[in-house]
Amino acid sequence: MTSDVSTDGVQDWLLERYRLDELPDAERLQVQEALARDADLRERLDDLDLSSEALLRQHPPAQLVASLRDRRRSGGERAVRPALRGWTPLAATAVVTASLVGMALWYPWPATRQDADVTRVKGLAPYLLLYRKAATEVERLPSAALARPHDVVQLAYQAGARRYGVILSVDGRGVVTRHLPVHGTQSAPLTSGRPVALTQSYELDDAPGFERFLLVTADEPFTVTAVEDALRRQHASLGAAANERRLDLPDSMDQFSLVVKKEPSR
Amino acid sequence: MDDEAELDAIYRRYGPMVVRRCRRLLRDDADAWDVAQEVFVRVVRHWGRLDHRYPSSLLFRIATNLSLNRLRDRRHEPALPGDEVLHRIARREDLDAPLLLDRLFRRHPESTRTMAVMHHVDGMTLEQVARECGLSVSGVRKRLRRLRETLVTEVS
Repeated sequence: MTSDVSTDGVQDWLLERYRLDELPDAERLQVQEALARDADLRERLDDLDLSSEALLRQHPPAQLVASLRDRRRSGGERAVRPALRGWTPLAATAVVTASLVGMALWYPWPATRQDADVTRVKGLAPYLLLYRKAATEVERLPSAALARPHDVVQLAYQAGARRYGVILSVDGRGVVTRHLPVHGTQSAPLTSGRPVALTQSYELDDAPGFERFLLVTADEPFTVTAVEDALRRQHASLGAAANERRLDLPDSMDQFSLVVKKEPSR
Repeated sequence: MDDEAELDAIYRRYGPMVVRRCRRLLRDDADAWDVAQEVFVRVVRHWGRLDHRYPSSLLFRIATNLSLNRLRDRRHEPALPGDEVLHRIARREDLDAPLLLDRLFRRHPESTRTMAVMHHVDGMTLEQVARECGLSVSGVRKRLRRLRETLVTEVS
């Protein structure tokens, strides 16, 4: 990668700070002197002013304030309504599609990153991958990605050093759905090495809110219901704010959480 | 900082810088605006710890860090044409492609990535990086050296 250093030696970040009058004296003087002798630099400074005006027109402060207000409101005040809707299987070639329900307009992304960050395993930590089929391609959905009803998605997991696991999801209504194992009461044996895609894909339905995907892994087998109950309890009591929290499970279990947001249909 | 008027004022002053920073790293307007909003979410959360002498320094650092996170999250987006894409995902041989970078990222604090970008991309001196990140110059030098060593080891 190349340094972002202009011919006059004043980098963009330095010019930004100068414009904001937030440079220590020595650097401020350095930029002032460069401005005095360099017309190109003065033009760059003028361009920053113009760019700032354009950006504030494009994204006015009211837009940011409203967005943050919505995020705060939906994250902290949403009532969780226990619902019976889950993932509805749909036939599709060799895969089974099911119904993904809601995803919140709240901002789970940093929380999810924190979840990932506190997951510590010697070697590679287990994690989930989520893909969506687009018109002509497949795209990976990162945490906080936007999804819509009828999106077709697929999960994959990386087991890391863990031998057993469970993959669940919970939607904005607090409905918990099991993805791995599909049946049985015990956690599924995981395949190590390269990431493994589940054999099912799923179609999102029109439920509002968020969808949180959770991978819980351990070195020994464990019961699925213990994890399901923990997830259900957490979301019943905290709603969307639960997306920021780890489940109340033994420390011997690793948890990885990926949350996507749900947009209404176009 | 619950006062929306205060947030409004902070955004008017620093928002353009933050959006430009995100754009520069992400090279995508939609992603940049999304991450920029996230920067201000963090600012709201951590307002009490903000250095009020030079808020731009902290905002710049948060914008850099969150943009790098976004790059990390999107760096393995597959682009497979055709109707059988989901089947192809299931058969993908290269799903472990992220492992190298994952290992790299997991071995170093996020702040080290930010320091590396500040030094190698933004052209900050070690002294400037140290000031931005609140570390000693030797501490920054050591972090960047370790990062280089990991890179060399992983690549080789």
